[in-house]
Amino acid sequence: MSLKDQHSTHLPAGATGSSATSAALPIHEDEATLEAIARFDELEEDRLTELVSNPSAKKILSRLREVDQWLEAAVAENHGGVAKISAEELYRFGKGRGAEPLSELRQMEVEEFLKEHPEEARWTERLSEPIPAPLDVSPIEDTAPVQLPGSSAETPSIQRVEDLHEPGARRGPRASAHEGSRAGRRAPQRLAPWMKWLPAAAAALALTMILDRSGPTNAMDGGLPESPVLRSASSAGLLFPRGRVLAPVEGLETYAARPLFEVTAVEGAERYRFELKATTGGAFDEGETVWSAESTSKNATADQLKAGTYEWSAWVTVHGVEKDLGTLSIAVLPPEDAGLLRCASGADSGPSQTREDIRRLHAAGFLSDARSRARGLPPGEARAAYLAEGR
Amino acid sequence: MSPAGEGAAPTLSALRGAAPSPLDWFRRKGEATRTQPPRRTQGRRCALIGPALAAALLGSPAWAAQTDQPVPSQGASTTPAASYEQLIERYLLALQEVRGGNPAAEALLRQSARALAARHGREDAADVAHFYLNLEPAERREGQLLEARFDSLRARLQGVEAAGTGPDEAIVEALLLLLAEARQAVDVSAAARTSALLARLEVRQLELARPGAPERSELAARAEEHAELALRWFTLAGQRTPKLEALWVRARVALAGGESLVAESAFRELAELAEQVQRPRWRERALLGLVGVARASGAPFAATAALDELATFRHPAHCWALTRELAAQRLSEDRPRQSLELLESFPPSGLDPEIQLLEADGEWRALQAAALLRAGEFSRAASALEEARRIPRGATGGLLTLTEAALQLDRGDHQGALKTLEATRPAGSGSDLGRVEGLALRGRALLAAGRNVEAIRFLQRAFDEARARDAARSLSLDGAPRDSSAVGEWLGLSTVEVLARAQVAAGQTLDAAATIEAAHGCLSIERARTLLLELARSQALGAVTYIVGADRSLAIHVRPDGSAEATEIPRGRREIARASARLREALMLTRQAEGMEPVALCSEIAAQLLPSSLLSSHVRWRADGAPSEAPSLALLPHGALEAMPFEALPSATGEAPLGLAFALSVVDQLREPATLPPRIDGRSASWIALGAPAQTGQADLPGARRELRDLERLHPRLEAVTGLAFDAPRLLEALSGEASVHVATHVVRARGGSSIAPMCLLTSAGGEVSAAAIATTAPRLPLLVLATCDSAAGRSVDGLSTRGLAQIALDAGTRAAVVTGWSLSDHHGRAASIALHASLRAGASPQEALRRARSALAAAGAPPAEWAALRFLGTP
Repeated sequence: MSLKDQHSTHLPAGATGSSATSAALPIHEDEATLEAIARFDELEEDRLTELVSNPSAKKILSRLREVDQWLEAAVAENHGGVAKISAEELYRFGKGRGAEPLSELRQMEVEEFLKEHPEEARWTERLSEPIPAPLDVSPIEDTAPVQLPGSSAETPSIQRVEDLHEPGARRGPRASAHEGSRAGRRAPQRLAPWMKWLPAAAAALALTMILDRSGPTNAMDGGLPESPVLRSASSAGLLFPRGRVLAPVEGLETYAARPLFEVTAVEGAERYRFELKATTGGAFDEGETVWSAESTSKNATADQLKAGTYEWSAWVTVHGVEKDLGTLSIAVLPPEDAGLLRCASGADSGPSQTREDIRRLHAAGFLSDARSRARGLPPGEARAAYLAEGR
Repeated sequence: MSPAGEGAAPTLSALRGAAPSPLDWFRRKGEATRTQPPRRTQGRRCALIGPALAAALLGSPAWAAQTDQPVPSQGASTTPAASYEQLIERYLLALQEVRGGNPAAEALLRQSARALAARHGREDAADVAHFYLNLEPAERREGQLLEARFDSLRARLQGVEAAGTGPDEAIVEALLLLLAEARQAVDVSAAARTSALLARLEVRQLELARPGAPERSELAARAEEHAELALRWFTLAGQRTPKLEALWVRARVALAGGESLVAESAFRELAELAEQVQRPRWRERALLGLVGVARASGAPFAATAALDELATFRHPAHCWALTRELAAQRLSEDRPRQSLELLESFPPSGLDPEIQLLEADGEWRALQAAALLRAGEFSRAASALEEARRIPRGATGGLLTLTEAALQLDRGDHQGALKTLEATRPAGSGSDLGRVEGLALRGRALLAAGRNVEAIRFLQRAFDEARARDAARSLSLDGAPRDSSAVGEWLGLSTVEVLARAQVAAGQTLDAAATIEAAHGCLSIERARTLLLELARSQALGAVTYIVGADRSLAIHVRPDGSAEATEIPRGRREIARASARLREALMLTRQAEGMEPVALCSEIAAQLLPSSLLSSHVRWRADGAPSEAPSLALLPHGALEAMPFEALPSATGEAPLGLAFALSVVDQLREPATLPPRIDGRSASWIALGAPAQTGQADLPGARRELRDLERLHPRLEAVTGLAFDAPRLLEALSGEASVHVATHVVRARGGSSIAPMCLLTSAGGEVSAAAIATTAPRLPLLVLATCDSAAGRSVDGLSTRGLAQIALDAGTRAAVVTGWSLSDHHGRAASIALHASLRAGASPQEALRRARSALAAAGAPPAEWAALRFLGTP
C-alpha cells in the first residue's frame, strides 16, 4: 500500500464500532439465521415460518425471493434458446440514459419482439426509474439513498476511476458520521446499463451482498471478527504487521510503540532475519533500511514505528541456506480518530470492551492493532481463533 | 545504470550463464576422484575383507572411500546395539566365509543381513546374501576367481591412472576378455563389475573427444551398452550400491549426447539410490548433475529443487559446490547482494574434501567479480577480477573474460569490451553457453558503439542459438509441461530486450514485437509476426506486448491496422516486480476496510506501463462512434509483468480501470490458432461445472455449492458435479473431455513444493489434482474457468509464461481460461461466476463477459480485491 494512498484515505471520523456493525449487518441475528435465510429454498416450512416471524429476517427473505424469481426468469429465458434481442438493444429501445437510438428497422423489430414478451416490455418502460432497490441490501433498516445513474453527460458508458475510488480517495479527514457508520460495508456503485438486462447476474449479486460478511462477521453475538471464506488455504510467509497501523502517541501503549513482526514458522528453521525499510509509498521506490534483526524465533520486536510508509521483508535460514519469505507493505497513519486510538491503546478495559475495540480496529483495517489488543484477552477459543487468522 | 547508455547496461545475462557449468565441474570431479586412493577406514576394511565383497554392498573400493559414516571401532560388536559400520563389517566377513565354502557362516550371514535391513533399511544385504546362498559351491568359487582377476586388472588400472598416463589398450583388452568369460558364469558379479569399469573408461574417452568427432557415437554406444549390462547383472546379483557408478555413466553418456531428459532421469535415479544405500557423496554428485542439467536447459526451479535437496545433508560451509550454485542462482535472479553475502559467508575451504582449493578459489573470485559488477561496485569488481586473474585459469576463464568485457561496457569502454571479446574468443566460446554469452555481449558493445546493424546481427545469432536449444528440448518433452527456457534463463530476457530495442532503433518496430513474442512461444519470428498482427486486427484497440529488461523495459503497441509504436519504460525487472507486488497487496487490502483503494498507486504504475498510443487509440475509437460493447484489447505482458494487475490500472488519469472499461485479454503467449479449439459460443456451449468438495479438511464452500446449482439452472447444457461426486478422477475426466469446464473449489500448495507448477485443485475426501496431473489429461477445452484462489499463480520462468494450473492447460491446447490473480472469497466468487455465465449465455465473448462480471461486482460495491483479481488468460 502506498504512502500516498494510505494518507489519502483517512479514517472516518466518529465511526463507532456498533454503528459500523449495524450498518454492515442490519439484522440482529446469529450466523445460523443468516445462513438459513440464504438457503431459504432448502428450508422446511416450520423453519421458514419461524424465520418470517422476525421482521428483519422477513424483509431480507422477501427480497431474496424477489431476486430468486429474477434468476428463475433468466434461466427460463435462456432455456428458451438464443435471445433475438440483446440487452443493449432493449436498453437503447427504451431510451435508457446515455443510449444511442436504434435504427428505424431495428426499432420496429424490437417493438415486435416486445409484443410477445410483456415482461421485457415492462422493463423498457422503467428505464428512467432508479435501479431496483434489492441490489443494495446492506442498509435495510435505515436505507441509505441508492445512488442513481446520472444524466447522459454525467454517466459515461465507461465508469471513471474516480467514481470507483471515491469513497476512500476523496474522503477528507473529517468525513461525515454517516460515512463512518458504513465502514466495512461498501455502498453499491452505479450499475452499468447492461446490468438491468442480466437479471441472473443482478440476482446473484444481491444474494452475494446478503451473504457477504467481509467485515466483522460474528460481531452480533459479541464475538471477534472473522475473515471471509476464501477458496484456498493461506500460505503466506509474512503475517503481521500488514496494511494500516496506528501511529504511536506518547504515553499510550499501541501496537506501533513496540511492533511485533511475525512470520509463519518454517520447519527446520535455524534463524529468521527481518528487515524494515522506510519508503516514499511510491510503486517503484526501493526504500531505505531503518531496522533489521535476526532471531531464532519467528517473531521480532522492532523499534517504535513513526508515521509513514514502510515495507518489511523476512528470510529464513534452513540447512544453512537463506530463503525469502516475502515482503509486505505497511502504512503507519497518524491517529486522527480519537476513538480508534482509544481502541488501540485499550487502557483499563475489560474483555467485553476489548472485543468491541478489536471489532472496530479490524473493521477499519487496523488488523495489527486489533491483533495486538486480542493478545490481551483471556485465553479461549475465540481468542485463539482470531490470533490464528491470516495464517 | 550504465554511463555508456544504450547497450551498455550491466550485463546480467552475461553473468547469469557464465558461471562455471556444474556439468563441467562434476565431470572433472569424477576424474579426480578416481585417482584418489581410499582415504577412510572403510577403505582399509575393504582391503582386509576383499574388494569384491565390499563392492557388493558398498560399491567399488575407490568409491567406498566416499562414505560419510564415522570410523568404526576395532573389534566389531555383534550386539543389537552394533553400529552400521560394525554390522556391515560382520556381514561382509560372513559373506566372505560363505563364498569361500564355509557353510557355518550362513546363519551369521542371514542374521546380519536381517539386522542391516531392519535397523538401517539395507534390504539389499538380504538380496545379496540370498543370491550367494543360492549358488552351488563350485559356482561361488568360479565367481571368486573371476573377481580376483578383475581386482588385479583394476589395481593395474589404478596404478596407470595414478601415474597420469591413462589406461593403455592392453588393460582394456584384458578387461574385454574377462568380460567375455565372466558373462558366461552363474555368479555374474565379476561380469557386472568389469562391465561397469569399461563403461567408465569409455565415457571418459567420450567426454574427452572433441565435438563432432567420428568416434563419439561408437564410444557412446559402447559405454551405454556396458553400463546397461552392468546394471542388469548387479540387479540379478541383488547388489544395489555398485549400480551407482553404472547409473552415473548412463547419465554422463546421455549428457555427452545432448539428451538432457535421459540424463535428468539417470541422475534422479542415482540420487534416489544413493539416498537408499546411504552414500551421501554419490547423492551430492547426482544432485549437482541435476543442477547442471537444469541450468543447461534453462530450468531454474528444477535447479532450485535439487539444491534444496542437497542442502538437507550438505552445508554451504562444507560444500563449495552448493555455495557456488546458490550464488550463481541468486545472480541469475538479479540478486547480486544476496549472492555476494553468500560468497563472503562461505568461501571454499579445506572443509570440503571434494574440491581442488586453488581451482575453487578461482571460481569464488570470478563469481564475486560478477556479483560486484551487477551490484554496481565497479572498483571492487575490478579488484576481484584482478585477483581472479592471478589464479591459473580453469573453467573460470570464460567467466572472467565475459565479466571483464561487461565491466568495460559498464564503464563506457565499448571498444575495450569488443577487443577483450575478440582477443579471447576461444575462452568465451568454450561452451555453448559461453559462446552465446559472448555473442550477446558483442551485440551490446556494438550497440553501445552505435553500430546497430552489426549489433542486431550478433544479438540475433545469440537469440537463435538459445531458441534452437529450446526447440530441441521442446521436441523431446513428449507432452510433459514445459519447464525450461534457454532464451529466458540461459540467454536472459535482458538480451532479448536489448535486441528488441536495437530493432526499434533501426526502425523495425514490428520485428521487435515479433522477437519478443518468439522469445516466449515456440514460434518462428515470421510466424510470431503473423499471429501478432492477426491478434491486433481482432481487437478494437490492438495488442500491446512487453519485454522487461534488467534496467529498463519496452512496450510495443500493435494497432489493428498493423502499425506499431514502441514506448520505453524506464523501469527494470526489480522495480517492476516490486510495483506489481505492492499493487497486488494494496488491492487485496481493499477487502479489509473501506477507503483503502490504491488510486495513486494505480495511476503511478499505469503512467509508466501503458503506452500513450493506447489512450489515443481509445480516444479515436470513441470518436469514431463506439459500438455499444466495450472495446477489446489484448495485453501480452511477459516476465515480471505477468503478475501485474493490469485490470486495476486506468488507461489514463480519470479513466476507468482496464478491467472495467475494456474487454481485456491477457495473452500469456501466442499460440497457433489451428491447434486450439474454436472460440466458445456461450449461447450453445456445453459445460461441466465441478466444485464444492466435501470432506476436505478445509473450510466448507457454501457459495461454491450454490454457484454450481445456479449455473445448472442457468445453462441448459451444463452438468454439475459437487459434494463427494467431485473427486479427482471425475475432475480429470472432465478436463479430458470437449465441454468447457468450470471449477469452484480450493487451491492448495502441492506437497513437497518442488514441482514446476506447485498448485493443486482440491477435490472431495482430500483428493488433489496437480498441474502435472492436468498435463496428463492434455485438456483441449474451449474455456476453463478456475473460480478458485490464485488460479493464475505459479512459478515464473523467464521466457515461459508463469507455470501454474491454468497455464499448463493452455500449453496442452486449451484455448482460454478465466483465472484469479489472488485469493477469491467464496461469496464474491459465486457472484462473479453467475454474472460471467449469464453474459456468456447472452452471447458475449468470454473477455466481455468477464468485464461485465467485474463491472457487476464493482457496481454492487465489491472492493477491487474481488473484481480486479479476475483475468481472462489465453487466446481470445
